[in-house]
Order: sequence, then structure tokens, then C-alpha cells
Amino acid sequence: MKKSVVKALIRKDWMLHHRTFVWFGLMGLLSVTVFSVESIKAFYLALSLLLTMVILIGALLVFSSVVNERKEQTLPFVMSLPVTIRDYTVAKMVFNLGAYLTAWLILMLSTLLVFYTYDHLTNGLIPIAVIVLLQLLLSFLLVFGVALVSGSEKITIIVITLTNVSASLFMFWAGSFDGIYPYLGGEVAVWNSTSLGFILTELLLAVLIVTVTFYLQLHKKDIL
Amino acid sequence: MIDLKSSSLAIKVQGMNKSYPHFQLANLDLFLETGQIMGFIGPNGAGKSTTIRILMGLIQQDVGLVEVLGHQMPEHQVTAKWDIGYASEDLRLYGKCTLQWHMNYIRSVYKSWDESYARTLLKRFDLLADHPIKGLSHGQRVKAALLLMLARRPKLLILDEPTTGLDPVARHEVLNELMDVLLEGDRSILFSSHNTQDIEQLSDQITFIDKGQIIASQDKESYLESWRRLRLLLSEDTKLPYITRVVEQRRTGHQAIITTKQFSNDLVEQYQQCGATVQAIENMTLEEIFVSEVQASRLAKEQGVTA
Repeated sequence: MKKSVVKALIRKDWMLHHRTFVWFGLMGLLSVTVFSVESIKAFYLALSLLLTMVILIGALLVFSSVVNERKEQTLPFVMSLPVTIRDYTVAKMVFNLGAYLTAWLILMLSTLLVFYTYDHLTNGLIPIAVIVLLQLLLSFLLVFGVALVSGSEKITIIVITLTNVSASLFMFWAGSFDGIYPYLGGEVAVWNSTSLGFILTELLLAVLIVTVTFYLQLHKKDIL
Repeated sequence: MIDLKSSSLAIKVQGMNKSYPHFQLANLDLFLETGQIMGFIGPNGAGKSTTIRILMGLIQQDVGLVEVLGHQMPEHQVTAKWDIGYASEDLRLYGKCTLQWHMNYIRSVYKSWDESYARTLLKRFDLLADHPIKGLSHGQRVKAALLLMLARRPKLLILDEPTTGLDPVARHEVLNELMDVLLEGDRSILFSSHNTQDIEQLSDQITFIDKGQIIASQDKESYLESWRRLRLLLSEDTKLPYITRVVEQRRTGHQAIITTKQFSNDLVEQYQQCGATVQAIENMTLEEIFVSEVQASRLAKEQGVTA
């Protein structure tokens, strides 16, 4: 693997897509600030906006840097450079995962900070917030993996739709567990076996999705 | 005669196969000597692009040897690609970015980038570096892609239908530039097209492909020289002999048109001996040869299948 060319591919993606990424990241931060307003309506508005922004950032990254590269036929230009499918995959993973994780971490930490700081938001919400945001990370990894491996716009749109629908369903499902629901309104964040079990499972699934994506990409014979 | 062991081969393909559910490249052999221009001609869907993508390492062959500039593909594609310039009909540049952005990017990847040559090509192609690609015409986009490829001075150019969709002026400019590039040294070009005029103008070697198989590969001059069309005048009872090197024989009343791929004077004598008068011996254009070659190949396949 020629590191300088892989770096050049990552640099290219950053140059092409950083504006959209930064813009939606700022929108996400703005939605987090809505949590600070003491009103139930503001809480649900902030929650919807935050989820939408986290989903949008992921979808935009995948579409602009993976799906559109194939759709707009710039992939042959990229693959005519001295790179292999492995180099291309590494570059896409570093850029997409790096960019998404940066935005995701900033939004998660700022959300937790707002929950911790403002009295009208109970600390009991912190575990479910982490669980739901991790689920969104999983959804992004799945969408990214499917887009990269399948190269199909249609399949990617289907997976995005399904993961979007599952986001709110998952939130209500996870929040209904005996180990989580009773503590949502509490003053203290409760990290019990249920919440930690969710988090551990989600982290393992994240590693699994990334590994499977990389494995399938490396075993591809044709990229065009 | 090509020396298959020679290191002077820019492209060496032997016994290559690639199968898809509805199409296959079968037992393909292809050799391009360094410094030569090969015209790679075939109808749509013949397998030109698939072959070229295999040469670029973008698709992996099922079996067979593929060497480009002495490097095995796809294993050593990175080493090979440093010295390959690739342009294809389906290769697009980033629409939102300017040509200057692309030039800067390619320069950051390739140390061989020649800035002064890039500026020369900008003028020659009448391109503006600071215009977004999406605002350029099709011809300008093709020329922009060629500029990016040529200014890093690759040893081998692999061009997949680069002139498709260009107006006559743009096509002329592109072909002229390719001719100039070849004059500069030991560069080789593989040039695929279904436009036989471009191939005839540019190539030293001709390779025909149809339905995934190479049906002819030869140097252009001897190839054009070997094909002839004979116009014969016949009496009603004249029977034309069966001659294997005759590709097509069409008889209408007292006239017959014979197409041969191995012309020599003894063929004329053979027809004269059986009572025919040879009215004309005509040279054929590459397009006419291409059509005859493809039809003959398809007929031979059909007869082979029937037998």
C-alpha cells in the first residue's frame, strides 16, 4: 500500500466534501443547544433535530463520497491513479469513519454536557442517549458498508430508509427495558447490566460491520 | 513477427478469459510492442472496454497472463499505473471542481507532472483552467481529461473510445495531439474505438475483436494491403471455384463481387481460368474490411455451431 496516494485520496474527499460536512455539523450543534430551553416541546424538537442531523451527516457523507463517485462516473478517474481496491477501501474508511466519528463524538459529548449541566434535563437520560446515538453510529456503518460493497444507489437508499425508520423504533424499544425505563427521570445516570449490555453489543456490532465490509471489499475482483 | 519473450512489449496478454453470465472474453491474446499504436476495433459490446479494464487492473481476469509494461496485472497494478495514462468514454472529472483543481491534484500525486507541458496543452486545446468542469462542453471535458493524462508523461496510453461524441474539430485536435505524443519517444498507445477512420489515421497495428474473441491482429499496412475486392464479369454457365481465402462471394446475374483477405495475383489467374473476366481490383477501407471480417467471423462461428 502506497501511503502517500492513500493520503491523497483522503485529502481529495476532504477537499470535495468538507463544506457540507461542517455545515451540517454546525446545524447539529445548534439542535443540541435547543435542549437548553426548559420546555417539553423544545426537548422533543431538539431530540428530532439532533437525530435528523446525525442521520443526515452520515447519509451525506456516504452519498457524496461513495455513491456519487460511482453514479457520476468519477470512480474510473480515481481508480486510474496508482491505487488498488484495498487502497481505495482504506481511504474511504479513514475519511468516512473519521469524519462521521468526529461529528458523532462532538454531538454526543455536547448532548451529554447539556444533559449534565441543565437542571430541567435529568441525568437519567444519559444512558439512553448514549445507546440511541450508538445505534445511529451502527446505522451509519451499515449504510457505508452496503454502499461501498454493493456500489448500488438503490440498495443504499433502501438501507438508509430502513435504518431511519428503525432509529425511532429502537429508541422506544430500548427505553422500554426494565433496566432502563424506571431510571429515565432519575437524577443519576444508572449504568446497570442492561444499559452496559446494550452499549457492549453495539460496540461489538460496529467492529463486526467494519470487519465484514473490509473483508468483502478485499475479496472483490472487479471495482467497475 | 512479435517476440513474446521480449521485454519491449508494452502489453502482453496470453490465454486470458473472463466470464460473465451473458458474455465472455475467450482465450484472448494481445501484444503491443513499445512505441507502437494499436487500434483496437470492435462493435459495441464486443469486449473492448472489458479488455481495457482488465489491462488497468480494474477488473480481474479469471485465467490467463496479463502484463502491462512488464508488470503482472492485477497484482502489480500500482507499479504499472504510475506509467499508464488512462482515458475512457465513461471517465468523468469532478463537475464542481475546476480544471486547475484537477491539475493541482494530479501534480500532488505524480512527480512526473510537467507543468510547462500542461500549460502548452491548455493553450493548444483552448481550455480555461479556472472554469468548473460541469460548465465545459463534452469535447472540452475529453480534452481536459487528456491534458491531465498527457502532462504527467506516461509511457503507455490506454484510451477507451476517447473520441466518441466529439465534433470533427475536437476529434482532429485530439488525434493530432496523440500523434505528437508518440513522436516524443518510446510511448505506446492502445486506442479502442468503433470509429475506423480514427484508427486508420492513427494506428500502426490493428486488432479486431468481436463477441469476446480476437478475430484479427496485424500491422496496418500489410493488413490493408492483403484485403481486396474483385469485380468479375461472368457468363451464365461460369462456375466460381471454392477458394478458402475468399471471405465473401456475391453473385448477381452476370456479375460477381469477391472479397478476399489474402490477395495475390494468382487469385486473379484462378478466376480467369474458370472463364471470368476481372473488371476491377479495388482496395478496401478499414471500415469495409472491419465489416467483412466481423461478418466472416460470425458466419464461421455459426457454421461451426451448426456442424
